[in-house]
Amino acid sequence: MDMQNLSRRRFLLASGATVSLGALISACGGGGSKSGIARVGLAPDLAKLPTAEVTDVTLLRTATSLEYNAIFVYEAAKDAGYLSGDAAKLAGRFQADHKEHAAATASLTEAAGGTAFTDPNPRLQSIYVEPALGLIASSDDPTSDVLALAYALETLAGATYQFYVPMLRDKALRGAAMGIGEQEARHAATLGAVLNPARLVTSQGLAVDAKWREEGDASLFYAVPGAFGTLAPVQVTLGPADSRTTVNLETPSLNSMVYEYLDGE
Amino acid sequence: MTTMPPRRPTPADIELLAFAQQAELAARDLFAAAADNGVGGEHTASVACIAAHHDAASQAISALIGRNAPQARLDSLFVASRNAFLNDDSFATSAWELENTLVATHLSLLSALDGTEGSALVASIVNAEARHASALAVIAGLSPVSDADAFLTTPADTVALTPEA
Repeated sequence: MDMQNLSRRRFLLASGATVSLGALISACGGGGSKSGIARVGLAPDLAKLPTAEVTDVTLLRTATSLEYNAIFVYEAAKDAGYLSGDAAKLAGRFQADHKEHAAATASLTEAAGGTAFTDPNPRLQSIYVEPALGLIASSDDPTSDVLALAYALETLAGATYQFYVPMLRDKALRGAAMGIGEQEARHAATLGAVLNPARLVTSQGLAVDAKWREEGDASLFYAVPGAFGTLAPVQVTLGPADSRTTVNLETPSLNSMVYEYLDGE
Repeated sequence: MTTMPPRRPTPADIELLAFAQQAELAARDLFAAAADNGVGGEHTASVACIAAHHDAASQAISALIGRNAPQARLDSLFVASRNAFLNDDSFATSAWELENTLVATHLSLLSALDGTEGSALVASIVNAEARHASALAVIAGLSPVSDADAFLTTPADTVALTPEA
């Protein structure tokens, strides 16, 4: 027997083993491939992402969640003793209004065939509310800071309803939603008047006679900061004097809406 | 399948928005007359700015409905309120009532408008005019604590303006 024959026999044996092993693995794969392309091993099906459609119910649930964010902030301010006197009374009134608004939007949610949401918006709570309250806790002037946060949150709440109006498909809901939104705007205006009583309406951006213009830099607070409700981010600066931090609050958009499929997750 | 609302104003929307523009122009002229007359005490500059806001609102409506915009004030509204706006004693209360009336009017429009561009614009006007009402409560000498409702709500007896009225 020469070396050439030995090598050929070993080659044939090795080839047979390879084919047999391949057939065995293919048989273990199960199910087969619908595409007809052979595959080796077991690959799990990919989980499909749920469809996150922005419906009237989604918008109403998100609005309710924002009301609970506001309720939470006023409760936290009360528990911490940041406010007293008239400021505390005003905050108490605002919190009561937000409870009414939450009940109203929850009722509208159910009337629209959805399940009412009864908690603070989890994303806004983690990216805005908790950091802001943390900054206020370390502030040299927590009373001023909590009023500034309230002004920003009320402005944001009014803007949120305004933002959602054209997104609502049911016309009747648009008026109802903005009927709540205008009350949020009034909260902000009242706080603006308390924080900046000397100038209620800014002249910034207006074509008014020079004698009606403000002197100096614009304030952060006005009862009426513009001719239209704005959808721009609302800025609020909080924290200790040596490290003031500006937080940008934005209206709840696609990644912070309270979709129904999130219930139970 | 849900039908999406139209983006542009429908013919019915245009009629409603044209009426809204007339109301805004009447408000502009009333506040401008008040500012020119020096009413509002230390807040006359804010009164002048409110006039500019109503002018901006009327122009925004005009931009939306184009040549259908009447470009003329609702004269019945102007005439009914003019004397009260020129008097320092009655100005703030009358102006506060007017802003509440405009808020109620625009809210009623929101439930009637089909087009999303019109409803977005009117919502942004409501947001500002609700704030006007709170500012005017300050000018009227009211307290945000003991007179909180004047700052925070549209009075229940406020009647929205209608094109037929």
